[in-house]
Amino acid sequence: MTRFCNGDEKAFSALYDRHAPQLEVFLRRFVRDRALAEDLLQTTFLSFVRARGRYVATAGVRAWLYAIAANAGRDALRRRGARREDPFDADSLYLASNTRAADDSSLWSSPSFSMSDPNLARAVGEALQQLPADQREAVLLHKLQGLSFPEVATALGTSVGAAKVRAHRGYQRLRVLLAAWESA
Amino acid sequence: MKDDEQSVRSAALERARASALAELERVPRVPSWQRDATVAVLLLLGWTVMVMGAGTWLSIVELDRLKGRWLSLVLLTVVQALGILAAVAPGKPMLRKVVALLSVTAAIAILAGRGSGLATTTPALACSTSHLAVDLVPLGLVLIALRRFSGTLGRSLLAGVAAAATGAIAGELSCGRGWSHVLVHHVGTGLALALGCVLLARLRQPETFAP
Repeated sequence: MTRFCNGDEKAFSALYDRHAPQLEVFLRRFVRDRALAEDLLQTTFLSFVRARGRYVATAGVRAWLYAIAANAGRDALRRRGARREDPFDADSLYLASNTRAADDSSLWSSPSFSMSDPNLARAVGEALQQLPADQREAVLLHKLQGLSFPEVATALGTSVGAAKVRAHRGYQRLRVLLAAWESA
Repeated sequence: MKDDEQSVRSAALERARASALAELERVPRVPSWQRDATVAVLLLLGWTVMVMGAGTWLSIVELDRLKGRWLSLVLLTVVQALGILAAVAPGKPMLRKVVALLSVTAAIAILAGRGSGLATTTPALACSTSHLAVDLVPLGLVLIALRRFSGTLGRSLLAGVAAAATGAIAGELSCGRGWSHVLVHHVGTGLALALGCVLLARLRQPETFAP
């Protein structure tokens, strides 16, 4: 990161190769619009280059990049003013199953759950859209992107405790929503 | 189908890489946030000194008042400097809380320092108008500083308070009216300017989305 901050292109490329594919998936989940997500990926990395003088080592590169991406995504959705009107992009959740294994939450470790099931992926995606924005972001970053809670806190600009509370409330709500879907 | 999707994805990733590399080549060096903050603080303090100088020359500012109102003036200067620093610095939530507390303390000190005030023929609105006029340049400065990153409500508000402190300092050295006038035409005007800063910062597109 230090070499990148000094303008080293090779260092930038290494960081880009490490983080860009995951960020692209995150942005598609976040805005649910492939074209917009592609634009936002470009915006995210332009911001990354332009604002590298604001990077503080304690934040961690990955969390800092997600913070930029989340800010750009939030701004784009706010400007478009249509957060809940877009059709759900089931592909991005399908990608989620291929990019990160389901792990510690009982929600994801349920024997009935499989991300390769497009119906379930759609149900999870629709349930995610019903969460308040702050909870949805915490769940996306922690569960689907695999960020640690300190990283989620950096990305959301909150304390670690607040990030945990948001994610916990999000999981609780998702359980209720998915239980209703399962029984239907 | 999957191959098509992969190639679309790869093309998007390559486009983003190419544009970022072009930007890196265009701007191989960027200033640190510390430098940005220092420049903003110095410009803000410099503008305040200029306003005080011009006010003294025009006999609007009365430096005799420094003696009786030193506490509020010191607090306002600290709010100016730390306010812009807290608004620009990445992280530092504790600093923002401290500056918010200092701002409230400064407002209380201004009000507590005034009694019933002196009789004057100058219209009360002249204070609000001059407060806003003096604060226009600081407002522009803090808005430029805020463009460098993705601002939050708290940061914009603190930057607005830092800008409004310039007018408040001028008011402390030029206005002899009582606390009720100060509450409406100085503290109230400063608060309105800070809220205006929040609104303007929210309306504009930031240069980057960095936190």
